[in-house]
Amino acid sequence: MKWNAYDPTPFYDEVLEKNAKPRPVAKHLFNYLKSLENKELQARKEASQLCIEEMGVSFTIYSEGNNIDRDWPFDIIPRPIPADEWKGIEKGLIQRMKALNLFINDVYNDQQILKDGIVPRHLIDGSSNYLKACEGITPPHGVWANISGTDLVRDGEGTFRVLEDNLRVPSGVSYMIENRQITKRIFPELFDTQSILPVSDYPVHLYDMLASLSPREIEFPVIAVLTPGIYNSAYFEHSFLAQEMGAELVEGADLFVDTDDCVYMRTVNGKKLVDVIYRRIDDTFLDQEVFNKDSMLGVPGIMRAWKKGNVAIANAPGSGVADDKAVYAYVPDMIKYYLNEEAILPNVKTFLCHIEEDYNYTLENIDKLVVKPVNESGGYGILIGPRATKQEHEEFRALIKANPRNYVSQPMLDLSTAPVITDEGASHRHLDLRPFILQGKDCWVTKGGLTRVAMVKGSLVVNSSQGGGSKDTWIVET
Amino acid sequence: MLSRNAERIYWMGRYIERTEDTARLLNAFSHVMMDLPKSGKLGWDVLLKIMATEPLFYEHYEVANEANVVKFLLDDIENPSSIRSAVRAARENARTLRDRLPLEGWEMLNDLNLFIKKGAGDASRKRNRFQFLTDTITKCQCFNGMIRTTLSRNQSYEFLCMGAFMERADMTTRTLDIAADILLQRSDEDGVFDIHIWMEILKAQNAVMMYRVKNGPRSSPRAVMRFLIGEEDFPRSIKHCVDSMAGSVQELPRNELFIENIEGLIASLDKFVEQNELVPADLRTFFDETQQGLNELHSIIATTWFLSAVAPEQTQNQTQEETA
Repeated sequence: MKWNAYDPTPFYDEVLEKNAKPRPVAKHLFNYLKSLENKELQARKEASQLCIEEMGVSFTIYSEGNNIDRDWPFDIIPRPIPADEWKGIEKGLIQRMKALNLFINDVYNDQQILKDGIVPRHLIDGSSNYLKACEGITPPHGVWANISGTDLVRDGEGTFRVLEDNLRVPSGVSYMIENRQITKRIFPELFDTQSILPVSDYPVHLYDMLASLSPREIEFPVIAVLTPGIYNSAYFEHSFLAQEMGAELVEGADLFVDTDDCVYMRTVNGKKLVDVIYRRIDDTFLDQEVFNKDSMLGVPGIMRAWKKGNVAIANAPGSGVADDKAVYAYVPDMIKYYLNEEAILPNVKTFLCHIEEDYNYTLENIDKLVVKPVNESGGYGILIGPRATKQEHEEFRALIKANPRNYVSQPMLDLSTAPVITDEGASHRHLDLRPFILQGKDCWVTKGGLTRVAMVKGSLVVNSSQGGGSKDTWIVET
Repeated sequence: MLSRNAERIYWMGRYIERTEDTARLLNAFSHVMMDLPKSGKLGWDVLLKIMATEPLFYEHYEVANEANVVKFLLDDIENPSSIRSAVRAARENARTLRDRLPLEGWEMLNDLNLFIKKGAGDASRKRNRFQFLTDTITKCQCFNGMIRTTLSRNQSYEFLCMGAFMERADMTTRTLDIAADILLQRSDEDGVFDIHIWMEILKAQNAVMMYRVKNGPRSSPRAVMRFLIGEEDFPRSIKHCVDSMAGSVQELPRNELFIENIEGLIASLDKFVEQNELVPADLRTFFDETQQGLNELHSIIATTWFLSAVAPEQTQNQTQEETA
């Protein structure tokens, strides 16, 4: 592959330091790719496609009322990160996760942080993610969000920043593991000369974390993964994780709450007590008795069982209260407040439209900003100011004016780039990184995470539901 | 049936199994070497230790690096345990048994032999290796499936099964023996990623899912060994192999000595499963005894039913007892 032909990028590039010169961490990768003919590279790309089809790695998208099961989009060039740099990020993620969990527990109990005026009360009272049904509860180890998929981006200077805390039902971790499997098949030679940290132990850590939540102290607590079913976009992941953990993959109808307020599975041998539920359905579908009465996915009475401590649910219902884009802006303050530490990982500058100054700034500069609704995820409902039309600007101004609390804005980010193989050769694309953090009794971070790439040139949208791709992510010891 | 045929079909069973097991081992080992960062890597000579072919290897090669070891175990006709040799030997045995096997059996073995001859050279390149090994395993499984669904349950069948189970038990014992010897002695620092190795050992036996259903995803050395040694429901565990041999032998005449011996081995396997701790020194004794027990069973089979017991000089080339 000819690196000269790789179009120089004005952004921070993960592989190249400057034109045709690799970063130290990418030296081997750079030279190896250089040694391959373009034809060979295309052949490997095709092999990766075949491999994905053979392994059956897929995701589902909704389109015009139909569900389409698509092959997982994958780019063959890995994204290397130095192990030393990763150590710092790991610390930052653990710190953040701890503070967020202290916050959630506080919000559902004493509300000290609100009383002390660190976080404005209206953010909680007005949040659709705040569940009254969870007040007064303290889940095992005081931890609510047991699994987080935190989105990180590198800015123009190469500094990693937190873009989003995903504390509800973050997905993508199975693709992180499968991406490594694919790379090992496509570029086995690369693993000889380098020290790349393995990623396949995530399910073991997930299992240990879930087991640490079990109300019964037994060697093999019964763990179930609760999925909405095969029509969910992440169903592949639900079945993958259940399989990897040796856990039972269940749907709502497989579970019931008995008169003793315990959760049971329906099995051929009769009812079987469930200790821990890793739920992959949203809060409001969990329990028809408490939330959405028309939910077909939930288990009536499960909240009762959970409140009594007869079953553990991960993530705990109500965790989403710390996962909205307005609360996000206060995380550095939470870290200071609960841990008396400075945040290791910086946020992205965020303007909160409920504050007058920020509100005015956003309306005046909407053509330069990215505007996000506070409660959405998956990249939906976002305005990218510089790329939008005048009419769209007006529409969003109206939306913000109608409900300022529902919107935040952020400056356009110079997301870092990395080379991807296109039909025309290597070309740079923007990317982010989603590491996964587990907190039960202990706190643990994946070695790397899922790198998502915007496959459209110049695009900043990396979500796979919107045409994003992915890369294998390497934490490389040098 | 003729003693001569009993012997051939027993060895055919062993060689097919050896082909599959070696392919599995090589595949798993190649994978684990990619997964481990430099500090945790193992040497390629580990494979030679497992296959008990170190002396022969060093007669032909100087260094036990990836290229040499893979060639030796895959494609080297000088090595009677290589996949190439094993398939050829299986086919040679089948050649003289055509009247006893289902028609398709002979063709399948020819196909396998041709496949190995053509592809084994290229498979030294890592990129081709995984596909090649996977295909080899699939072809062995096809053969086994065909036998299982179409061979009459006569004495041929019992000898074939005994061969396959003997080889499988033998191979698993040696793999676990060497793995335990290396991994349980490593410093914690070298062994941070050993959990991946134990996982790969399960993978080599296609045991990952069955293990998880039973034990959850945690793979401690003790749980993995316990499963692969003593889980009687799992068809690739040593216990299951030995139980199956005990079952097969029920159908054969003059089986008293064999039964007496195998009961001792079964008791020792059961005792191992009940142990709560893994003491490296005990383990070594246990594996030595199991190995010895299997070898004895093999000799009893040979002396009780095979032609070599009657006229050893005629069949010396057949019984390649390099494992004994």
